[in-house]
Amino acid sequence: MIYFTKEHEWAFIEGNVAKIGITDHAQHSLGDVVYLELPEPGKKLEKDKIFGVVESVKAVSDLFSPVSGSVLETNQQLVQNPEWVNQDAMGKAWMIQVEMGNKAELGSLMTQEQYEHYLKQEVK
Amino acid sequence: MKTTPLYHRHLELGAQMTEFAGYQMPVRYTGDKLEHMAVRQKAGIFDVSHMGEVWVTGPHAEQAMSQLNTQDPSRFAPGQAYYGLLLNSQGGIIDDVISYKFSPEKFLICVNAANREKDFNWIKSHCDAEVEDASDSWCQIAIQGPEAVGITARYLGDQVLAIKRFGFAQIGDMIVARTGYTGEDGFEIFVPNAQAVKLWDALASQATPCGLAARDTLRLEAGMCLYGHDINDHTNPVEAGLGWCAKNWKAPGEVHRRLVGLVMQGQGIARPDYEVCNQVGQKIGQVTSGTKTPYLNQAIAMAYIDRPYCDGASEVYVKIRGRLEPAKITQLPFYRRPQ
Repeated sequence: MIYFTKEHEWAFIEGNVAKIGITDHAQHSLGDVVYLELPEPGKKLEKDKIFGVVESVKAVSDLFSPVSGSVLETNQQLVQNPEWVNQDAMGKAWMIQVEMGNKAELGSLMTQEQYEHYLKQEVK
Repeated sequence: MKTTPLYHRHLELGAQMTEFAGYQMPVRYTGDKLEHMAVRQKAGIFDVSHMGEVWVTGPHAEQAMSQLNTQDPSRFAPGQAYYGLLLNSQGGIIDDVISYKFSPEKFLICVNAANREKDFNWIKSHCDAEVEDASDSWCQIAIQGPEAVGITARYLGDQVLAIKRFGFAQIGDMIVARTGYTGEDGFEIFVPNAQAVKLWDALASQATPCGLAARDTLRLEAGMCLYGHDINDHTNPVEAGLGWCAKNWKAPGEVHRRLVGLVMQGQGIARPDYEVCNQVGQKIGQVTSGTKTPYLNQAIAMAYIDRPYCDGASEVYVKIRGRLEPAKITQLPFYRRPQ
């Protein structure tokens, strides 16, 4: 099951683990991504709080965590190849995997259908 | 919101549009890196119709230009363009402009889009020549890159090959100037609105359309100031490193800071408004422009730094999200095109 935030992060849920990245819409509006700052494994995250930074040639953008929990893994290959965010935002450009602290938080995120609707509203 | 006559071309090309100086302008078409590299390696084409055009004409035009602009217009022949500054009474930079001398009685000043009204009012009230804001009748298309001159010559004819750097010629109703804002060879072409789409179509078939994002990274690599970021009403020519075009302006006192180039030594990217610090974390300056540029593939920046630290021997740091990241002071430009 995949969920989305209003800040254009996605969270793919398997069991108690959330794999997190930014959406295709987000990478498109950022332009060419050149730099990422991501948290180390073990770092505690709070829902809706900043967990990292993504920078394109043109812009600096904070990353907001869709869920609370503890970082299990950071995509170090992505840190070395930030252009993957533009190439495959929803796939190989996952950023972190988080052991969720409170699965009930997912209820406040958007489903795919809700997110697509939200995008249509946002561009109006 | 205003649009340029090329607005529909931008939409057809799939450009992402942004608001700039009251205009809907293309920020990018395909990607910032691709567009930037096209200009460094082949040719890129830009719609810069948001720039303003102000005529200064009449028997007093040359005298007016000598009062308005830091450059002496009598040093230039008809058909020459020159970079210069408009300064306020404190020496603050009202704008940096390119002036085109048609004759001692006729000059065109190309002003920054965001300064158009400010410049026009200031120019009008500071000289007794005839002053006309013609911005709404002109488009400006820039074609830049190693292939730009050849592409332009194939369309407009070999006469453009005779235009020397910072020279210009009238070809039909167009003004074709060998100037640019990218560090590459090429032309900036003033074209009447009604002819703009035809010129764009001819040139865009052979050059990569580029947006404002690439324009910004290209000019930064080339070490050129962006008005509103690196220079403004409160920066003077000497601290901005523009004393070469304002030889008659004398700083009223000591100049305490200088605009320098920074090359980041770590992974972080310096951005506008970030603090520059010394090794104990005291603020010694401020970043005015900065990004990781595509051609050099380095995080570079321009920053005002207190004079004692400008010698290049001092260690300086940029504060990025609370961390001090080392930077090396370097001479501008960062990039010089191969001759």
